[in-house]
Amino acid sequence: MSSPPAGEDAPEAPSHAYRLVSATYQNREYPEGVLAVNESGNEIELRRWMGKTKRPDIAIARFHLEPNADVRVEGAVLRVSELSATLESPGVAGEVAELLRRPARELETARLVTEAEASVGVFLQTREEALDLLSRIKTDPRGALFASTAGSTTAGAEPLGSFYSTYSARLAESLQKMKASLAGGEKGLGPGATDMMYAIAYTIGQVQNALFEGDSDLVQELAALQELGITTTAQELRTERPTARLLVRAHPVILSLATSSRRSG
Amino acid sequence: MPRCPNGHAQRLGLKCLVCGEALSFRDSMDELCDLPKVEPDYGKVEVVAVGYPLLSLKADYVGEISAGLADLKTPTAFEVASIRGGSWLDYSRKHLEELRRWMTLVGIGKSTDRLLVMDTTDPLSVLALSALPKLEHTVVIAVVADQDSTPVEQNTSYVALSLALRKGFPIIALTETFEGDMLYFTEDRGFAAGDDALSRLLESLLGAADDLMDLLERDMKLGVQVHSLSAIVAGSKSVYGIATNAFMAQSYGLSMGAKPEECQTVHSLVFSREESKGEFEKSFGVFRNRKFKGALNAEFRFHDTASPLYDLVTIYGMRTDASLQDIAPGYQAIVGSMPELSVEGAS
Repeated sequence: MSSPPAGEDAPEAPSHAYRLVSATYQNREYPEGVLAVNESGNEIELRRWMGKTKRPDIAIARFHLEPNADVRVEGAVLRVSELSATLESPGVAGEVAELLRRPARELETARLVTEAEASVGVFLQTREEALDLLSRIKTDPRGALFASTAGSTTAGAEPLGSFYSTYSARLAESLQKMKASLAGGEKGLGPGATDMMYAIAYTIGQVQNALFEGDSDLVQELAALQELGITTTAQELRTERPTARLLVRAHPVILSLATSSRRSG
Repeated sequence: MPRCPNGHAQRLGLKCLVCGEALSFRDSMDELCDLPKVEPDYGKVEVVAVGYPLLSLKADYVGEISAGLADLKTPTAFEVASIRGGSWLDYSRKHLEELRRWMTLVGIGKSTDRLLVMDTTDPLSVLALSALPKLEHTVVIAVVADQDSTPVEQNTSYVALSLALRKGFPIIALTETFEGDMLYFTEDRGFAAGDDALSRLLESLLGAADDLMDLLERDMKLGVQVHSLSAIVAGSKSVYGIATNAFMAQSYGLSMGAKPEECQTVHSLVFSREESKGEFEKSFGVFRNRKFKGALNAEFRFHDTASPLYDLVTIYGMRTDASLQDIAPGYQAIVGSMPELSVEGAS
């Protein structure tokens, strides 16, 4: 095998090895050998015993599995891609299958996290937009209300009242969607990651409130964000539209919780 | 607010500071739907200028209603495309609802006091007055048609003034001729004529908006709704001598012709250095006794300024029909051939 070019990560070395009773790969049969799978579950190496000491030092095949590869177990036989491997027992075959299904599970977890974050983002960004406009309404009500309701207010309707009713409806709707999305994804994300998602959403809401009030030094909010694994500064929070940035920073925390929940589950 | 299983509420953090249990945020999300209530600051004085796109005024809000090349709406401008050969009725039919909507959006009526500065010979003045609701603390500074104006202008002006009167707005009327002849010398900007002169005069009135509203609303209670005006802008002792001379001199240049004996009230607003207050107050008394002895009310208001030059604005309360009688013939002539252009045709 050739070495990867400089600057590229080397492929992850196979870290789990299982004794093969027999294997068929690309229509060729191999009696005995070793099936090695890397930690991420996306690289498989098939090795043949060598010599009388049966040292597994000849690689017959090494291939990369796509996350959506079909992994099947029938008794002690594991079938994936063009490989059919008979392992020592159905239990071992099941363990290998779980390992090979990990990329698909993690992809699914990432999708669920992204969906949950998107629904939280819609709610929080709608709220941020409303609070930004309210800040403007305090000092420049004519300009702000004209800009925010020019296309929707009917003659005679009080613009500030229209503003509140429009945003109340939008917030209630996006909160319902957010709750439904988190409830729908909770099975896949796990209760820990879902609780964390709620904690992050609520805390960002409190950060928005503090920024709207304008008289806070944000020390408590920064500490709360830090506790959630989100590092930022007061200056950064005071720059325009901080919600999206905070959600981006929260992503690894949620993903990590959700991934470990799935691995342990 | 999030609570721990033991019921302790806490705004921020993951763990309860009292018992160390994890906080639950799920049931607290709904509170984020409640937006904080705000009290918008619409300022003390708003000005709506109709047909005067070039006025330069300092107020908390200045909105302009004018005709131009195309329809354009911004927080400070309501501009409509000119209608060829259009009468006030054409503009009203086409734009009344959208102007009402614009006025609501930009908060016309939300400041404490309002000055409506309008050229009542402009068809948009009827549109604007039709769109306005009845508002308190509102004065109309109206440039009105006079005997030199065309019947069409007189008709428009007559309808606009009638609407303003019907809505209960006090009116300070300036004839077109008076407005055209306005010429003020100012220390900092030299001679001001036309819109600049009107801006300069309004600057003084805006500086005394509280007093102006107070005087006009008191007159309203006396049944005096229409006023004429005279002014000296950037006056000085070297030009007028004693203050009494200044009062007498300015009373010969009324914005709408009225004889002193026809004036029902007379009020002077003086903007000068504090040390001149006594002299002006005394002179106002002399002026009133000499020319307006029969006035129902006469008040003097003084505003301290830093300038060595003074402004003197006197407002004369008149009979309500005084503003209409000179232009009634032109109004009637138009209504005779186009009955829909009568006051009854306006909202």
